[in-house]
Amino acid sequence: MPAVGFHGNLLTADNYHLVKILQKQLLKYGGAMGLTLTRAAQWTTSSSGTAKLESTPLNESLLKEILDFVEKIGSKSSQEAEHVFEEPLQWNTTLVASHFKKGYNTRGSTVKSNEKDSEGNPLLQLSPPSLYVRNFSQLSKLLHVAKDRKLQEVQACLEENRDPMVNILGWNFISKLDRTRSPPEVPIDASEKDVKVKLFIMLQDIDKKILNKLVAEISEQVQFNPTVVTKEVELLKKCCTEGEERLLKSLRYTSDFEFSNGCRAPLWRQALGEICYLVIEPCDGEILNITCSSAGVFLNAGFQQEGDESHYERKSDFYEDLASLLKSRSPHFAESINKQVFDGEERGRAQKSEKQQENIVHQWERLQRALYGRKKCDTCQRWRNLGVLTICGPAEEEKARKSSVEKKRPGARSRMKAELSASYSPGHLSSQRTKTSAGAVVEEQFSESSSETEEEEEQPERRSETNPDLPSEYWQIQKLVKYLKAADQTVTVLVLCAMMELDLTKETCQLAIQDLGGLEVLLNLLDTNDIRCKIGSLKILTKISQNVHLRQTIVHMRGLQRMVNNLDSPVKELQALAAETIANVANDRRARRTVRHHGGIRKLVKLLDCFNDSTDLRANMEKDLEVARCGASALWSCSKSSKNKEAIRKAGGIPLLGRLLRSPQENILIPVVGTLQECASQESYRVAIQTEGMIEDLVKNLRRDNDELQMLCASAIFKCAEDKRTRDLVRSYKGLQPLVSLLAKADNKQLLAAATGAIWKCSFSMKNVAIFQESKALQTLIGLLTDQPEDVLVNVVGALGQFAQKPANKTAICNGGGIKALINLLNGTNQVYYVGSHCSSCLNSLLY
Amino acid sequence: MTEMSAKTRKTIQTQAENLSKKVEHFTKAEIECLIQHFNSLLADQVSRGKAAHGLDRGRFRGILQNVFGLTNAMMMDGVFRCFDKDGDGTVTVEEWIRGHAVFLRGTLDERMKYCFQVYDLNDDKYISKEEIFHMLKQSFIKQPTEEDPDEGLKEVVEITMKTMDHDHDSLLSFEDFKKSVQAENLLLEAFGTCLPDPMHIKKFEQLVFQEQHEQ
Repeated sequence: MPAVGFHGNLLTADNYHLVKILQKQLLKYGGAMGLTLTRAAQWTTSSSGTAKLESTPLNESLLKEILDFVEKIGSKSSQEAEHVFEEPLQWNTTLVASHFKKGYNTRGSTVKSNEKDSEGNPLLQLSPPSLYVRNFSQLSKLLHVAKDRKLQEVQACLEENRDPMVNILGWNFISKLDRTRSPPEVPIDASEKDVKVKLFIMLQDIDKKILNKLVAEISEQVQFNPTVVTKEVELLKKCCTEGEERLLKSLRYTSDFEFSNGCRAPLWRQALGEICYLVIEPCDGEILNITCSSAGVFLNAGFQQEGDESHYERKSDFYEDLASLLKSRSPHFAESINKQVFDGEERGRAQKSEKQQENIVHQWERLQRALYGRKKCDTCQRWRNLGVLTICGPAEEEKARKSSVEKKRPGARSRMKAELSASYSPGHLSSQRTKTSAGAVVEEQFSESSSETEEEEEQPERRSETNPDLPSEYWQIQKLVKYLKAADQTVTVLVLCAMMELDLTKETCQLAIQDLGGLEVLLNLLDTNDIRCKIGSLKILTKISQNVHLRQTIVHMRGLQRMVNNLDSPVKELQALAAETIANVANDRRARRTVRHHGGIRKLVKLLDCFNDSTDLRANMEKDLEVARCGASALWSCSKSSKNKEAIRKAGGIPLLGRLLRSPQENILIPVVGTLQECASQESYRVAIQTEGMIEDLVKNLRRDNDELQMLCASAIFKCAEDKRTRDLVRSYKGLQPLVSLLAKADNKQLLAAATGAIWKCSFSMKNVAIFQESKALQTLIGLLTDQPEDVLVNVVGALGQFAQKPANKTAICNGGGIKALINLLNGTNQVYYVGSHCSSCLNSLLY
Repeated sequence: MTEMSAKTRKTIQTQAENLSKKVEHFTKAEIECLIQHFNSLLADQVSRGKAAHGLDRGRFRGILQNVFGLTNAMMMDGVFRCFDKDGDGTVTVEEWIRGHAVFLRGTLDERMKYCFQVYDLNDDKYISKEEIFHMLKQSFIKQPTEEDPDEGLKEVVEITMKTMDHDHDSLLSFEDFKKSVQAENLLLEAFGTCLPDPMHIKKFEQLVFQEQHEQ
């Protein structure tokens, strides 16, 4: 409890500062306890006019949390618990006199508590059906009395005391905190106020805690994407300027309070997928009340007052985003946005705004991409049209600037202009005012913008000829994806090969493949029987899955399942590619779980087993090794989660990794050692590494001239050398000297951290310390006490602490300037506590 | 097969002896199996009334379809052309075994030569755009709404030509083809499936070479 920290001089000295802080918090959170109740709880109004808490799972867990808090407060902090409420909490109870036993004075049906306040009034009083309670201690006792009915009692109490804070602390106190400017007068008894403040902080604390817990619960159930909404709102806000160019009069959220998950809707509405509510005033119409939900954007009935459920009702179709809703509702908006984007230059806009304009267009584009990522494919076409709509803007302006381009293609330009003016003239738009769906409006504009009767699909392609600005790959990919959808396996492979010719490491290409529906086709190909199609698809997927966004989309589209299915294909190339792609995708946490759930770990471990057919030709051996390499890479990625470590072990992965560890090829060794050192965080692996003789191989590979491999081996030794026998093995295989020589590569911090870690752990054996000394490790380590990252410092200081257990080394450390460096580390303000604690124990062993 | 006369067996053994010197990738025993298998296919054809020294086109295509899973008629004709080295319209036992050496166990080089030959429809040592277009004609689902239904296919042919035609003469020579396939193995069967896939190969080898073990 933060209250403890303030204890003592809380109000005796200058309480002004503290009260200020509290005021700020109040403003931010709108009052303790009240917050959870108003933002989270789902209220209904009963026929009698009193508000009721509905029995929903959300409210139930809320009540339980509050109950839990009240029950505990009695035992935890007595001073606060004894504090007498300004006004009693009063409600109609179902409890009767017979429930109350010890500590109460029963007379007929009325009950009074033996405990009284300073004026002699009982702290609890029951005159059926009303119950008055005046402090937390009594409240907690009452709940004890109520036994299995306590939840109902809490509910009744909350329903009848809608603002418990006022009852508890007094209106005076609250309003003082609430006052933003003037410093509070201090007429109240200081010690009493002290308790009040502490109580207030405590309540607020629990309020926040409950709220966050509920938010977390909700977020688990519903997938939100509030950032997209937030971004679009920000963007639209910029359009609420004054003057001719403004798109909207005003735009505001119905609530300033934002939950930790980025949503603003009350929690019980969040459970239904709603994110926030907006009130938008267009330039040419009535005020729009809008709900943004994870399913889309729609009009609601408007929020005149809180608590009435009917206001949440949906009054329109779902729209993809705010812009499309506004376009359908506000002709002015639709017209202006097109104008601003399309013919800004013709309206004689100043040069300076051009850049800003481009910026806005760019943001729209990005936003729509994000929106599309959230949507299914049926909206793809509409989005694409929108995409073109916004993309054309800068292209036009660009062309105006580069008149040379224009001269080359006068036909194209004039044709496009004609199309534009045809579709975006105000008259044309006003005739569409009756349209309800924004999508329909947009699509119609596009189909009419062309003189021929063509499919809308054709449109973007046509534009492509006139659009020098977009990367050519974008249009190329669009074409290729279209062909993929219409081809048999032979042409599919040709198209896939053409796609491979593009620079797939470029993010624009990766995102274009995702946005234009290519990713879906590629993943679908993995379900076919055609091996060449699958290979081609995976060759592309391995490359584009290096992009974080695409990884997530792949997981989302159930791509991993399909890759796992291909792991036991008889075609080795296919196995290898599937594993390699999984290795990329499994960098995503959710992906690792998916791989396990679909039996992927077992299959991947099987790929490591390339020692079966001794009769196989050498060519096949190479293929087998490649499969094993990819399998090990995938396991490396997967082994970052502890359940997968367990699964690898259960699938018999450890001995197979041990065999591969003897391979001479570095490209196989890296993922193998990578997996082993990742898994060495588990006891079972450390034991296996020692007993299956892998220490010898790890030491051997320390000597290879490959930084990554050396780093991984050192890291494995670091994790395993807690064990004495392992430390001895490292020594007997002569692994200590190579570790010391790794210290020379001080530029590679990862390597340095692993090497110093291994030295530290190995130096727990004094025999090892002796050998380290022979290799002059001590001096090098002292040199590493300055200007190193934290993870190196911890290891170095730890190692020196071990070295210092030999008296001779103590002098060496002192003479070598070690003490000074250590003390500097202790004093350093930026150093993390962890380093500091190691330092002091190191100094301890030096001094005593 | 077990009722095979000693004389026939002798003939087969001599035949296999001869062929094993000419054809790579098969052991003598395997060649014996292939001969026996070929003979049984031939006997089937003969019993239907056509005495011949080799498999005719129709029978051959039937085998390609049923045993090796090839479906494209144009490709099957090409395969027949490749097997039928002397161009007499029948595949003899020697042609059969030579063909299968590539079909089942060919090295990448051999398979490249073979595929190029299949795709070079007019046998002028070059694959032209027209030939490619002809081979892929059936491969594209035409969009009924498009003005020019072949536009997509034309574009694909153009793109493919651009990536494979290394000397920019708008014709694919064997050198062009080889270079492209070496860079991307998937382009081996670029213009149509004309080799059996690994599963069919495995099945066929089991079927034919198993007989050897059973004996």
